[in-house]
Amino acid sequence: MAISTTLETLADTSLLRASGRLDGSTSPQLEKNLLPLLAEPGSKVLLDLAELDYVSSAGLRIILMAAKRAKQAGGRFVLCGLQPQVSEVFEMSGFTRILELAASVDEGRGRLAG
Amino acid sequence: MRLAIHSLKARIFLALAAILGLVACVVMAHSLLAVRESAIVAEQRSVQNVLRMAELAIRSEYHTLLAGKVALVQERKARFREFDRVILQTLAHYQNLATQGQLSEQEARTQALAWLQKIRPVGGEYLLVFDRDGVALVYPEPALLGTQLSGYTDFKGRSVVAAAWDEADRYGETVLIYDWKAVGSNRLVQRYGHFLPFRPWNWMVASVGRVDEVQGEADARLAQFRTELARSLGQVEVSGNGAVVIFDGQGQWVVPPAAANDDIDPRAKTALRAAAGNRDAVHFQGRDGRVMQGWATYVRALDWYVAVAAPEAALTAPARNLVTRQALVFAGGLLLGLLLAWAVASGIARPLVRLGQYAKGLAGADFSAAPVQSMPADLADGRQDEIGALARSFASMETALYRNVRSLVEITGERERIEGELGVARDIQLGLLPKMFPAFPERPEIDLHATLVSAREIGGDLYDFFLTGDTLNFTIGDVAGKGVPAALFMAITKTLMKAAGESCTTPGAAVCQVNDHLARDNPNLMFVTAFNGVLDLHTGELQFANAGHNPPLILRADGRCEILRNISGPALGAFEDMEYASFTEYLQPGDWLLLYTDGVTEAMDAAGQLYGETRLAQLMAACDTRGNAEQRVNTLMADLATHVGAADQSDDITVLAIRYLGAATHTDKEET
Repeated sequence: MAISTTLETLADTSLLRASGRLDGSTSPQLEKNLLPLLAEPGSKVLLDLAELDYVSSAGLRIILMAAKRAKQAGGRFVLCGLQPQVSEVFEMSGFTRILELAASVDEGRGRLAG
Repeated sequence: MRLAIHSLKARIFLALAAILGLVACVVMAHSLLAVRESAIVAEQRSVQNVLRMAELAIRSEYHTLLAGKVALVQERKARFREFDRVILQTLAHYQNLATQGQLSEQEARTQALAWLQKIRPVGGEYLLVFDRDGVALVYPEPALLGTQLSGYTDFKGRSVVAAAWDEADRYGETVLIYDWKAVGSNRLVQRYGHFLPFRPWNWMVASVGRVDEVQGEADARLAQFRTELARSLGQVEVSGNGAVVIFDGQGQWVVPPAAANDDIDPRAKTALRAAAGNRDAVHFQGRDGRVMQGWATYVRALDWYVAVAAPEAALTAPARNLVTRQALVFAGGLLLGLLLAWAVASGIARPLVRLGQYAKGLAGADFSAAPVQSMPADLADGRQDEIGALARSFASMETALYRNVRSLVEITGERERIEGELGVARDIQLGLLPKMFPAFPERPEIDLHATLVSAREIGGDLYDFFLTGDTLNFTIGDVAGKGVPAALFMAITKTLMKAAGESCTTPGAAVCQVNDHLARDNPNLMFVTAFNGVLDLHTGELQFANAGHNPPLILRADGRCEILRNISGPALGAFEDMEYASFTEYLQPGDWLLLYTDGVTEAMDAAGQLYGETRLAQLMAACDTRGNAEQRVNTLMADLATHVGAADQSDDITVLAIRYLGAATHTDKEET
């Protein structure tokens, strides 16, 4: 019932890796770690969810907020490495149409570079 | 006050009492023994001192007597010498007359002798004159005149006459002590004489006295001394009717004891005589069988035994009295000490008892009332010791209790207020949802049932259904998150959805309209997944739009289970200007449509296992097809409860079951 995040900075891109569970109780922590990365206009953020086992609707909200911030600030926000059960939630909620998704970190970096 | 043996007071008191008792016993035993011993010794010494004093007095008096006797003899001798000198001068006078020729030698001698016959020495018995041959010239017995006197000897065995002449020739004069017959008898009497020779005529002139005359005087003085001694010793007090006595070598009384103190019999005398001069006491039986202790000393010059005796009981009586007195003093001291110990124990225990009463009182105090400091001030502030510190701790605890209980009461009140408000909010929220079942008893085409169970007082799930003509418009939705924000968002969504459902032609258009309304002013990016369907009750045509909601199940009458996986667009409220597609499906009479929120599929058991879509589908497929919608919903809820078990409900749960029963046999479309 916890989440942990590690941050890497790759050239002009921030890579945040989240692992564990993202639900109502852990989403504030991700919010605190993720949203500041998108404050700078034009910032590029890659959120790696390869280690994330579960996401709830409260967790989706944080990710939507990140996407919206990126849009407002003219930056880019890409998700990558979603596990099937996480991907399913994204698909069911219909947010795959709004969010940029990549299969892996490398693909995500490629998108951000492009 | 009752003294419980386990109370602190009792323990302190007993400890103090034990210490006092032990100290008192040791000191008492030791001092009593010492006192007893020393008292007995002192008493014995005082008795012995009496003996010693008596002995000293006797010896001193004896020496005085002896000195008196010597002085008497000396005085007699001096007197005899003077007397003899006077006689010699007289004889010289007679001899001078003869020399001058006034008298013949013979006449002078005869006249001189006649004169000498007539005189007696002062203090003496008689005058003795003899010539160098020892022939008596002057003597009190006329028969012996002219006879030889040399038969008498002095105490050295010499002939008195020869010795007198011998010593007089050598020293000019002499004094002799000797035995001589008495005047008028042949009994020997000790005498002394001063011998002075008259050379011209070879006469020896001697003044003679009786020694027993001197002795008699000494004896008289001794008798007087005995009398005085008897009187004075009679006055000497010896403890317990004891007595100082004197007896002589033959066991005869010199100074007898007073009649009342007649404790010394001949056997006792023998024992005392044997122990004379010893320091240790002689024990013997006195009058009436009482045990006596005695000491004796021997005065050899007088052949006297001076003895002192006292009853043993009297000798030890002062020690006994002293011991008794001291024991009483000790007992008094001990009693005083015990009283003091009691006071000390009470003094220590009393504040503790009061603290106990205070603490007992605290248990019954109403801490929600106005704070009252019930700690006695003299305990908390008046004492600087550990009890004072304890009392202050209690007092501050009491203050803290008042404060904490008060804040607890306030918090509880606040929580109750919030809970009350939440309860009202819940009522309002539930009031938004249609809850009358069966919902449409006048429409045999459908059987419908729904339930909503919030994880908290209020939640973010919603459902709704209403008829528009011959179509059933229904919605199920799930706001992201829980609690008050979700509930507010749910209320808005439900209202918007109803309005959109009534005004829009297709579900896609309706959810699109709701999305735009919600997303327009939504800084927190709240969103709601929603499924909106429109069922034509005549045809069974189902139009629907799914905005990111869990896919509903269609349970066909023949037992097949289909899942409506079509997604029209993302959940509502996140982004404006999204497009939502509408889809179409057909229900046959007897088919079921089951809508639910993720509270169902994501219901977790204690092990964290999700309920899941698969189990849901299996359960629904296994359901009795003849059952109504309410039964089906209840079956699902019961299975969910079984799965969750004791675990907490983590999310709102909503289920909406619709059974299409086919068009009515007689249509009343126009009338409705």
